[in-house]
Formats: sequence, structure tokens, C-alpha cells
Amino acid sequence: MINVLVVAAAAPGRPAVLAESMRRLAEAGAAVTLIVGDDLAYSRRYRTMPGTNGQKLWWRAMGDGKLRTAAARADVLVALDAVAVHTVWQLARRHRGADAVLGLTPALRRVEARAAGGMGLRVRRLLVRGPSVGYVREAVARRVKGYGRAAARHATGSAVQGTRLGRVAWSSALTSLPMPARARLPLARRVADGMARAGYADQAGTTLTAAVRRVPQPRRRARFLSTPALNELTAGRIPTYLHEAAAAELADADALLTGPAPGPAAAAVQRAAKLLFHRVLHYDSLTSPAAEDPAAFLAPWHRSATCRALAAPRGRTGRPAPVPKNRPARLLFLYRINDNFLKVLRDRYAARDDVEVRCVNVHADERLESAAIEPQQYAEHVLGGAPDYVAPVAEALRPHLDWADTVFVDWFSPAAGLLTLLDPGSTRVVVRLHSFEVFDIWPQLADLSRVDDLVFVSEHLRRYARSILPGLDEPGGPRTRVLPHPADLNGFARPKPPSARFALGLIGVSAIAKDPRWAIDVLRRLRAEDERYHLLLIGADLRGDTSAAARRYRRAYEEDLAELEPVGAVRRLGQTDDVPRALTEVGTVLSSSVRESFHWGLAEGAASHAVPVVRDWPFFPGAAAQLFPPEWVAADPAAAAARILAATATEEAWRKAGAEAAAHAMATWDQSVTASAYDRLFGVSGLPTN
Amino acid sequence: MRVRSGWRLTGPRRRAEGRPHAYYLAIGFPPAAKSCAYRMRETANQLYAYGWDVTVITIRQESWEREFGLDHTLSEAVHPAIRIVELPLVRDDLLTDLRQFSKERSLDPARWIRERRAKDLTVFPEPVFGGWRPVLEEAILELHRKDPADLLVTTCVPYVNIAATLRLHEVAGVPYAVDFRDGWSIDVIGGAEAFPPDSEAGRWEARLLRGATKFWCVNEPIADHYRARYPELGPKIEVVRNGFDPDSVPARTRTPDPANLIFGYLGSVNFKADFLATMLDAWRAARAADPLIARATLDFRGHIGAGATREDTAHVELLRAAAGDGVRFGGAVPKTRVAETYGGWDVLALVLVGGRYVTSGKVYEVAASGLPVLSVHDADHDACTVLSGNPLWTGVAAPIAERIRRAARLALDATPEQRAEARRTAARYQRAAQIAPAVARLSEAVRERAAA
Repeated sequence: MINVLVVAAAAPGRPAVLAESMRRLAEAGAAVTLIVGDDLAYSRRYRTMPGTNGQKLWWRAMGDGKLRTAAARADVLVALDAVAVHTVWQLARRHRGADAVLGLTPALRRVEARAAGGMGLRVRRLLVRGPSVGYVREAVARRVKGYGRAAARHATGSAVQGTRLGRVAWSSALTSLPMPARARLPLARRVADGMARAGYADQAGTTLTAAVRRVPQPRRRARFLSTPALNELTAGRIPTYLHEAAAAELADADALLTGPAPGPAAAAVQRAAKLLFHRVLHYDSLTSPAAEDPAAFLAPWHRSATCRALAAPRGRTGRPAPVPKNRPARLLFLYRINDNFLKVLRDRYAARDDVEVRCVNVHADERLESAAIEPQQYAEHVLGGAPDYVAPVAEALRPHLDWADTVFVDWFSPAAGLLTLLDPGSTRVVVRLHSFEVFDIWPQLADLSRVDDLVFVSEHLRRYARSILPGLDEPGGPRTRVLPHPADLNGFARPKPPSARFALGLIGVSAIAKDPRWAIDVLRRLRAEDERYHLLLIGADLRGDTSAAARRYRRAYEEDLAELEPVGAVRRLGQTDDVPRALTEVGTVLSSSVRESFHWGLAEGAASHAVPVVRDWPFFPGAAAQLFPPEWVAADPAAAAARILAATATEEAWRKAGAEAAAHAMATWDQSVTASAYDRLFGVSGLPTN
Repeated sequence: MRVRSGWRLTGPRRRAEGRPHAYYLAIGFPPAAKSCAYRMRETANQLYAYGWDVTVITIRQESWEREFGLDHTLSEAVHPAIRIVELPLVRDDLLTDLRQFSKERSLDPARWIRERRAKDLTVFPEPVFGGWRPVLEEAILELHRKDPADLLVTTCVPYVNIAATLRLHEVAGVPYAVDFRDGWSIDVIGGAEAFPPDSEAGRWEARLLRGATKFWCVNEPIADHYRARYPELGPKIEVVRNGFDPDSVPARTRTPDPANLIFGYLGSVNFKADFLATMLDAWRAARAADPLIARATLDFRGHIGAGATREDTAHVELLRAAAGDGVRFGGAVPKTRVAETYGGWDVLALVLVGGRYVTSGKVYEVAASGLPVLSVHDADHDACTVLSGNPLWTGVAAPIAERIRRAARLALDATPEQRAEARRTAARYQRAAQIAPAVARLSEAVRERAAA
């Protein structure tokens, strides 16, 4: 006789099927016990306890003697419905000799198999008794779980990781022991946290990356590294495994690229971009991991098939046509928010009869701005998805693009990216890259085959851009030109009072890259010689809210000012619309930045007859000496202080040095000298002006 | 050919010399007791007959035991030179062995399945099967590395096969044909678009069809849907009807006994219980109105339910509860006994869902049986295309109860000439006659492409 226990949560809903199944089971030699949940003892306690219906049925079944007896005797345990599954599952763990199935037909098959199996199955039933190993292990584990967790926490904690032996042992275990990713990765994170807390951040990074290499799934690798890497950056720290994290995301993007939709690949690229172009790396620190070898820094990006697909030239249907002779040249200025450097050009060409000018601010057009803030969707669109992305952009830009002979995009910002979504046809596209954009995603996303000329304001930026934009040197890439910005330096040369001789001036201090603390260092050295020296900070104050790294710098800067402002050594003049007037008080104008593309504030200071002193920008060593007369450049604060002391030793010497600087500035950078290069660029040179 | 651990290879291990190599991705290939197995078997045999060395890729036999079971008699007619690779994929949702359930699954089986299906959809837009994508892609690439393919023929369902097909095509440039059978972007039952072109599934389908050398479907309405949706694919789209196997048709029909006419239905029950209830109500009405039917029997044979609900569904309850009305349910019939089963009946019931986009596979053998055909389906059903001209067909104009009575009269009154005419009308739908020309056209297209 084969004993069958059928458990149903409620009265079976298909009586005819049940009756037929019972008949067939009996025919196959089974004695069937049917237990329905309604027959089990009611318990208010279990009804109100949180749990699934399946769990509640089991709690009630546990207390039912009849069910326990039938289960102990059963050869086949059957759940008749989904709610009864957990009860039968629990019974099966306690009675290893029985089959446990869901459904009547599977039950009949087991009964038939047992009937056909004869003695063998009966012997097995005698030998295989009692609960399963899994059940026993779980019961024991429940008791020791509390101790186990505490032990694991202790073993991976900072106390253990503070010892060399602990670190070596855990690193070795994580990289050599076979274990599933779901166990390896959380453990690696806990160990790495312990190492970091113990002061071994580098080793923590190495441990994480070594552990993650054992994980075959690109997506899992990527998430595991990129999430903590981003957290580290948000906290203002540069993770040692930044590159591995970005490379893992890009590998994931490449794996996803073969999928049906490009959205996930674009999302992975965006996550990689958030890491590689994070402001903590490039804007909120005085150094950048990209400074030394920019090409190597972005190598994972450029190796990625997805990023190569993003940068692939989409081509154009026409070539730029010359400006027709029978009508004014049409010039479109395109920018997003910042038109500080456009004003001179806009005024110059708006005043001419032979040029028609239009200006479009991407930020002011909702269709464009919506697209500008979605680089991920941009990428998805370029990869073949996000079909609705481009229509509003085309609707907003196409009429202007078709109208213009030349489009001049100031800053290599989203404005440039969006423009290159459209085939420019016969319109010439000129983009001017200033500086910070090289640390942004947009030059990497834009289609360089649709840019005819890429203008830089200095040679070192062109050099840097070529190292991070392989498309610049490829056939079909844009011509690159270095053109000084045509600044209007007229009006800066105003009389300075004698007291200005001891005033250092810094124009623009809002960004960490301006490094005002370098200027403060120079100031301290000067004041050690002569307390009349003081520093004027012109422009909006330092922003320290962009990241934890920026906040750290800002705190140190505030501490400096707390010491120097009360004694009059530093004055913050704040934002002003009248820079020439503010400069009348400045005797020495500084460029203390870690990097600049040009530093127009310095040129304005020089034009005002202040003595220029330029830090050898550490990000671009030697670049300042190529842009400015070498004697203006100082290798360090000591050299800067020495130059200032010498140049301001007497009022006469100071005024003479100032006059020479002003003459150089006017002869080199004033628009009267430099703007004609833009006339040629726009193809309007030689035409009459009013 | 050596296959990795966990896979199973049956058939010749060495490649046949001098024959180009075709992989046939056919999940549901014999011995799976599924209705699609007949078409798959014929396709593989025809590929071999046309000169291809054929390797079928399917899933482990044991997987089918969870669904409709196995029918080893189906495998008997697979050409012995065809090799079959079985991949270790199973339908987890149909698992009935509770010892293999996780605790989490045991606590809430329905939720576990919901979550599994949601997870499947993140891998490929097809519930249940979507999660097979990585294994299928990896397997097909590995097989190609070991034994390079000259052609891949893929048949859907499951649609996840699309991912593996495109992967092989995109990585190795292997040309492929798709036997899409009932299509994907058309809901053949409801007659509406199943998903828009810009959905994830829509993009997969478009990619698949654009790259295909040939694209087959089972009837003209489905082909028309695809011609309208992808006008540029026109010449690639071919109708390859299911047809019938001559050995499924009874050589002789029995002499009807007016005291016990036997109506029979054979096929997988994939219609709703309500539909069955409507038919049973009509059966009862006919019995009340006609003593001939009151003495008759209605035999239901075929697969109903899978996994835990195998033969434990509302349909089976309706059939069992109708035992007093002369209704019997006898379970599935092995392929080799199909003709014998038909031979024991006087009238064949053709119970079908859907409309103009559904033809069904059963209609062909029913039409060719020489027995009266009782149609229980919509008037605009594509089965009518196959049955029109059959002198023993009840048509679909009258109410079902009337059709039942008419079928009984036809059974009693049918002349040998009418039976012969019915068989003749359907003869053109022999399965080989449907599939062989399509395989020939595909093979030539591949050769032309290779030569170009």
C-alpha cells in the first residue's frame, strides 16, 4: 500500500476532477488521506501574525496531530493548491523518504512509479528516514546565527584589517577562494571598508578590484565598483579604483550594446561619464588625475565600442558654402547661458550692414534646454534609440541652421552637441572651446564630422584637446585654430593712486581652480617684508558647495580670511559690473590658477597698468610662458613674491612695469588687433562696414 | 561533435561529409509531445533531404515532462542522420517536485513566478522564456565555433530564440531563416497588433526580420499583417502552411452505428473553459432535441493543463462533470495512434479559438480524414479556407447544436464518394508538400547569397 497525504488549503474547487483522481490513485494502489485547511485547528494568534497564507497554514498544520501522523506515514506528500505548498514543503524536509509534489497528476505519476518500483523504493523508505540535512542545518544555524554574524563583523573589521597579516589573509581569501559572486562581493566590500577605516585606502581599492575580477558578469562588476566609487567622489575623495569602475561600466555598456535597445548601454555610458568627468576630479581639486596623461586617463572611454559608436561620424550632405556676394552674411551665435565672451563679437558684427546676426541661447528655449540636460538620452539617440529626442531639437534649431551661413557656438557645451545632431548641410559650423569643457562629456558626444572649425584660445588647450578627442586627428575632423579672444581692453587704463602699488588683485575667485590660497601664500610672503601689501578679491566669492572636496578647500580658505581680513590684509570686493574701476586700486594683478585657457582677467589687469604675475599653471606646465612674456611667470609663490617686490620697489619702477604690461596687452590681445582673425574665420573680411 | 557537460547529443557525432551544415533551433522538437513537433520534424527532415547536414538545437527531454510530456513515437520518423543537441534549459514555472522548491518559493508560489517573469522580461521581452537568452546565445556561438554553421533556421515560439539567432548572425554572419509560424506582433486570437513597432519586442522583431533570408508564417492573413508592417520585406515573406502527416489520417473509416455515434475531439486544449462550456451546452441541447445525439458519445482526447495543473483544470472539471451526457475525457494520444483514434470515431469536432489569423494544425488532418467535420469556431476563422469545398463539413452558419445534428446526419449519410472527395480536397495540404518547396527556396537563396 502506498500512503498518500493530500493537503489542500481550502475545499477543492473541482470535485469531479478530485473524485476521478482519487479513483485513479486507488486503482494504482494508493491509500489517500485528504486534509483540508478548514479542518485544522483555528488559532487567533496565527491569524493575526504577519506571514503569507502559506505560512499561516503551516503554523496551524504544525499543531495538528492527525496531519503529523499522516505525514510520518506518507510515501507521497501532495499539495493540492498553491497555499498548501509551504506546508508540504516543510513536511517534506522532515520526512526524507517521501515524494513531495504539487498537483494530482504529478502525484499519480509518483504513485505509479512507486508501484512499479517494487522493493527498491520500500527499502529506500526504511533507510531514508527522518529530517533532511538542510532542515537540521537550518535549525542549528538559527541558534548560532547571532554568534556567527558578530564573528564575521569582527573578522572583517578595522582592527583585523589594521594588521598586515589580516589584510594579506583577507585579500588572498577574496581572490583565491572559490565562492559565488553574491558572497564574494559583499564580503569584499566589508573587508575593503575595514581596510579603509584602518587607514589603508589604497589596499582597500586593490582588494575591491581584485575581488571583482573574479566576477564574470560585467553588469555585476560594474555596479559593484561604480556605486562606491561615486559615493567616494561625492564625499570628495578620489577612489583608487576609479579607472576600474569606469572601465567596468564601459565593458557593461559594450555588452549591452548588442541588446535590442540601446537605452541600457547609454545608461552605463552615463554612469562611466559620471565617474570620469566628475567635478571632484577636475574642478573641485587643485590637481586632476587627467593632468599628467590625459589620453591614458580617458583610454577606457576611447577603447569602448559604445563610446566609439557614439563618436562615429554621421557625416553631412553638403559642404560649407561661401557667403553669397549678393546679400549680407548671416551669422548665428549659439550658446547656453554664458555669453560673457560673445559680447564683443556680437556687438562687432551687429554693427555692420554686411552681416546679419542672430543669437540663440539654448537655455532660453525649453525644447533645447530639455535636451541639453539629458546627455544620456542624447547618447541613447545616437546609438539608435530615444526616437523622440531629436524632433524638438530639430524644430528649434533647424530654421536657424538653414538660415545661417555660419554658426558660431561659444563653449563646447550641450549647445554644440545638440547642433551636431543635425546635418548642417551647406552651413559652416564653428565651435570655440575655452577650457573646462575638456573635462566634460559633451565634446566626447558631439559629432566632430559636423564641425568645420574648432577654435581654441590657446595652443596648450588645443594640445590637450587633441589628446582626449581622437576624432580631431581623423579624416573628416574639424580644422583646429588658435585665435586669441578679441577682448575689448579699451577703457581699462585709468589713473591709479600711489597706494595701489601695494595692492594685489585677483579677478575671479569663484572656482577652486582659481586657487586663491596660492595668492594668499604670495601675500603672506610679501607681508613678511612689508605689511602694506594687501590682496583685493574681485568677483563672486569662492563657491564651496559643489562637493565635499570643494567644501574642504573652502573651509581652509575661510580660515585664511578669518585671520587676514580683520587686519585689512585681504578685502573681498565681490561681484562688480565695473571691473576697470575696481582695477584702479590694483597695483599687481595675479593669475594664481591651477589651470587656465588664457585668463582674461589677467589681460584686463595688465591693460589697466597693473604689474602681471602669473603662476606657472601646474595643470599646463610651461603654457603660461608661451602665452605671456616669460618674465611675468613665476614658478612658485616665492618667485612671485620676489617679482612683485622687485617690480613695486619704487613707485616709478611699478608705474614703468605697469605701462609696459599695458602696452603689451593692447598690442597683443585687444580686439583692434585680434578681431580681424574672426572676420576671416566668418568669411566677412574685406566687406565694407558702416 | 563533442558537447559540454549538461548538454545531451543524440544522432551521429561526426558531421556528414560534403553537406553544408544547418542548425535548426527548434525548441519543442520531438520527442516533446507538442503540436509544433510535427512541423519541426518535417522541417528538419526536409532540410536533410535537400542536402543539409542538420543539427537540431532544443532543450532537455526531461523539461517536456513538466509540460505536456514526451511522445517517443514522434522521434521514430526523425531522419537518423539528424543530430539533436539538448540544452539544459527547463521551465522552472512548471516544476512540481516540491523538494526542489526554495523556501521563498514555497511560501508564495504565485509571487515567485511573478517575480521570475518580471526578471525574464529584463533579459528579453518574453515572459517565462526570456531568461533563457544567455544560455541560448552562448550555446549557439559555442556550437558554431566547434561546427560552423552555413545556415540557421529558427522557429518560434519561444521568441527568445530571436536573440540567439541575431547573435550568431551578427557575430559570425551566418544567414538565417525564421519559421515564425503564428508571428509575434499580431495577436492571432484577438486579431489586433500585439505590440507597437517602437516597443522593445517591436525592435527585436524588426531587427530579426530585416536580416532574415526567408520568413515563414502559417497562413495568408498573418503574412498580410507582416507585409503591411514591413513593406520592404515583401519577397522574403512566405506562407508555409502546417499541413498533415499522411500517417495521422485513418486508412479506413468505421461504419457508423446509429445507436452509438462517436464524436471525437483530438488536440491540445488551448481555448478557455467558457468556450468549452458553450460547446457542452450545445451538445446537451442537441441531445435533448435529437435521439441520435442522445445516444451518441463525445470523446475528448489531448493535452489539458501542464505542470501541477495537468489534467486538473476547469476544462477537465467540465468534461468530467458532463460524463452523464455522454462526454468522456481520455487524456493524450501518442502520435502513432492518432490515425487509429480517428478511425474509431464517426465525426471529428474541430474546436478552435481565434479568427482570420488562426488556421490551426489540426484542421488539415481533420479535413483529410474522410470523416464529417463539426466546426466549432468563428465564421471568419482561417480554418474555413482549408475546409471550404469539403462535402462533409458542417460549415459554421448554423447554431452549434444544429451543426452537431447535421454532423450526425453526415456521418450516417456520407457516401464513399463523398469521403473520397473530402480526402482529395485536402490532399494538397500534405505536410511535406508545404514544407519541401519552402526548404528548397530557402536553400537556393542561401546558395545564391554564398555565391554572390
